[in-house]
Amino acid sequence: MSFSSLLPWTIPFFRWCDQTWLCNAIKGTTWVFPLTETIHILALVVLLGSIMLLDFRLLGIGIRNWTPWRIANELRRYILWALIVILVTGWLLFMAEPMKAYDNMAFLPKMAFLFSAILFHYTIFRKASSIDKFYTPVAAKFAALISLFLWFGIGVMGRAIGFV
Amino acid sequence: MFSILGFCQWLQDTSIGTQIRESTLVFPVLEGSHLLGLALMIAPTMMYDLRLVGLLWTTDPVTKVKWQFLPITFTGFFFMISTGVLLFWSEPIKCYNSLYFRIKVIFLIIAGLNALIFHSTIDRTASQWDTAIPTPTRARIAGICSLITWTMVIFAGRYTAYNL
Repeated sequence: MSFSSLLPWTIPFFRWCDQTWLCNAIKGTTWVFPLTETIHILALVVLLGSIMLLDFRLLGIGIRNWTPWRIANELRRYILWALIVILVTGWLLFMAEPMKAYDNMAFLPKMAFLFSAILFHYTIFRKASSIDKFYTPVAAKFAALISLFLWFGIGVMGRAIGFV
Repeated sequence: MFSILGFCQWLQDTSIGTQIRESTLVFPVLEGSHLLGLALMIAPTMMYDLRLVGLLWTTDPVTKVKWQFLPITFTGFFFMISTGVLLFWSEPIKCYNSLYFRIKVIFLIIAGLNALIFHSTIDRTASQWDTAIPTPTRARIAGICSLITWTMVIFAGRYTAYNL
């Protein structure tokens, strides 16, 4: 599954990206890409780690002295900032090689996971993690599992981009 | 005579090292799991560090925050170390020759020493300054040191893979 095989009509967008000033500027250097990717990974560690803490709490694993609401409240800023950094650096990484992303079999699934994960996180998951009780209902545990699945999906597909 | 290079050469030639190196699937999966273990370890570490600095969870005692997060930190650490050993096992010569890997090892040692010194000195009297705001200077230094060194470990770790 790639943009080229599934959504070939999107090619003008990728071609346009490929000709922008930004794309050429990134391609013209050797240090921007690794530095951007490393910052991307740093943000990933903070984002994924924080969300996993919340997921595990909802599942009843660890941090049992605080309610999900309390944890979500303390983590909110860190999750948001990590998400902003990861999106900005991710955009730059994409701009470094848009045509490669167009043909890559893992890039389209990664984007699908990304948009689902963000949408889920700020709607259903937000509600699930606002529970201010020590006991979490089954529905909230289910939401935690979906959250884990979606965020891991992004990571697995991201890892696969370099290999397929 | 024993030499690190000789050890690395021997390790590289063992059948486990060769098998991981030559497998198309095992190496990327190990790398992905290494990152996952890292996220699992870094997020709770960061939470505790930020409590020591006095930025997060400030309404809760330091020792309470510590025991909320430490079990998760250990789980992630174990996961990260076991995958890390296997990754090193598969390409010890490359690691030996890599400047970034050496930097990573140095920062890992600093991070370990920082934790060792903190837990064997100021942390022993934590019950006396459990709710004190601001936290003692030495606790804040340990927290900041941990945040910086782990960031550098991640940085150097990602750069090791670039063959720069």
